[in-house]
Amino acid sequence: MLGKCMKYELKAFAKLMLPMLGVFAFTWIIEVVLMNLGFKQGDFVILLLWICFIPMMFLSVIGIPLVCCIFGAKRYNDVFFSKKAYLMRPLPVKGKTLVISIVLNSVIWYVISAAVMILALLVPSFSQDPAQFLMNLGSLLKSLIEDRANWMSVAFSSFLTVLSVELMIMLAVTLASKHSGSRFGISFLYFLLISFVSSLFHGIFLRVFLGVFNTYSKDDSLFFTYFDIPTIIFRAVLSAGILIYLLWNADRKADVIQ
Amino acid sequence: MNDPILSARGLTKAYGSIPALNQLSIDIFKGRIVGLLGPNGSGKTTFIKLVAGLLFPNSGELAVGGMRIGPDTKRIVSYLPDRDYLPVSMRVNELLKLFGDFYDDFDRARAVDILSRLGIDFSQKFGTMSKGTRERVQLALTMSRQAELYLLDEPIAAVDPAARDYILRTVLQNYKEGSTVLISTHLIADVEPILDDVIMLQNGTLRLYGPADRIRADTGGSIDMLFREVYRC
Repeated sequence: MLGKCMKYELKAFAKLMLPMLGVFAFTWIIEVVLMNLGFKQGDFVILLLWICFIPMMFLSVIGIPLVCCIFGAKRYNDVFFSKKAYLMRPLPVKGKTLVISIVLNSVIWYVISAAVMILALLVPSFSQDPAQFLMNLGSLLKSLIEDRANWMSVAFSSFLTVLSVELMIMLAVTLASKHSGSRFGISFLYFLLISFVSSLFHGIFLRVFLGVFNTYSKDDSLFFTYFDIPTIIFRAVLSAGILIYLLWNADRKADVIQ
Repeated sequence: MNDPILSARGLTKAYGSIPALNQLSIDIFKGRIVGLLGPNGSGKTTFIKLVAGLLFPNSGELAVGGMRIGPDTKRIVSYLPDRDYLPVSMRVNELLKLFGDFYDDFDRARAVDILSRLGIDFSQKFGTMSKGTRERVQLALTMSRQAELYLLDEPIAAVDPAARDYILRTVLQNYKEGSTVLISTHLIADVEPILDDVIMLQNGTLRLYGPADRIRADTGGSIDMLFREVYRC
């Protein structure tokens, strides 16, 4: 049944994500085409494209994962608590299967988005000379491999950040479902509360971690950045904890009151 | 003795401090068309949603076919809510595919037959249909399942008399023989002719339950008259 749920969730996500990724990919395809037409890096047309491309890429790096995460939480609300629940909840599927299908789809689309954006990074290294292109690509890959610990830490921490935000929104929606009145407003308030509490515990956890594992020092480049090991551990534990609660709640307490 | 398809013991459900069902105990038997009657707020929809798995009881027990409410009971229960519930962006052929994917007992040929007789365009989106057509599509999908228990929540509440006749005719012509149909309604006169058994709820408790013929014989009048008398304001 998970496969069937995934199929329908994939379609639902695709309706939103494909156009967004399409617009993003279209821009760098245009740049490649322009380069094939003889325009070079530094030409006015390419410069104009970069002026458009850079802000879009910046917004996309933050925006696309954020949209993915918010849409995942919206799908959860739709499937469990809104009108669509009258179709989805009577299906012969466990509630936890529905939750897993939604979260997995968010992860899949996050990975797809990341892959599209990474491919877009290759555009600046493109050159009409195949040998030059391969050299540029080689340099890029070499720098990624040499600094792989940091890049992997950044990637994994980014992924966990988006996932934990999505799960926190889902938890807020679940808690708000017990109330009458404006569920959007109540969900937002719950989300603020959950964010505040998780930040508090994050701070406490960091201090405890520093005290227990005192191998970290101020000189350690990994520690005082956002993408540090204790933060990764905390976000992983937070995400796992919320997910376990949502899975438990899905088959025991998630009433469709609307 | 006929086995019950649906059993409730001490079933209680409250929305916060507001009780919707209070210690309801009942057995509904196989092969019966049962009217679930009561005024607004009596607990009819709450009971149906509990059986369909959209709500979880505060206490008590509920079983369908001897099984606790879950994927196995949903496999044999066909539920028609009291509202539009199908996604507005889905086309009729997509809805047929979805029902076929998830419900092993879905009879696609029957659904196609019912919808074709209604002249419905299978490529049309659900949201672009008229209200009456949407209700017919929902009913066709529900009754095209070969379920053991059909839950119809207010299927004739918001339609004209001609449509009511069509809906009741569709129910009678398409439900699986030997299965149970539980129809929740407050339009007693329309459904009374087809009912085998009658359940009357009031304030979340069981007021009356028995065969329709026996109730009519005991009271000397129709179920509709009894309803008006029992629930007189």
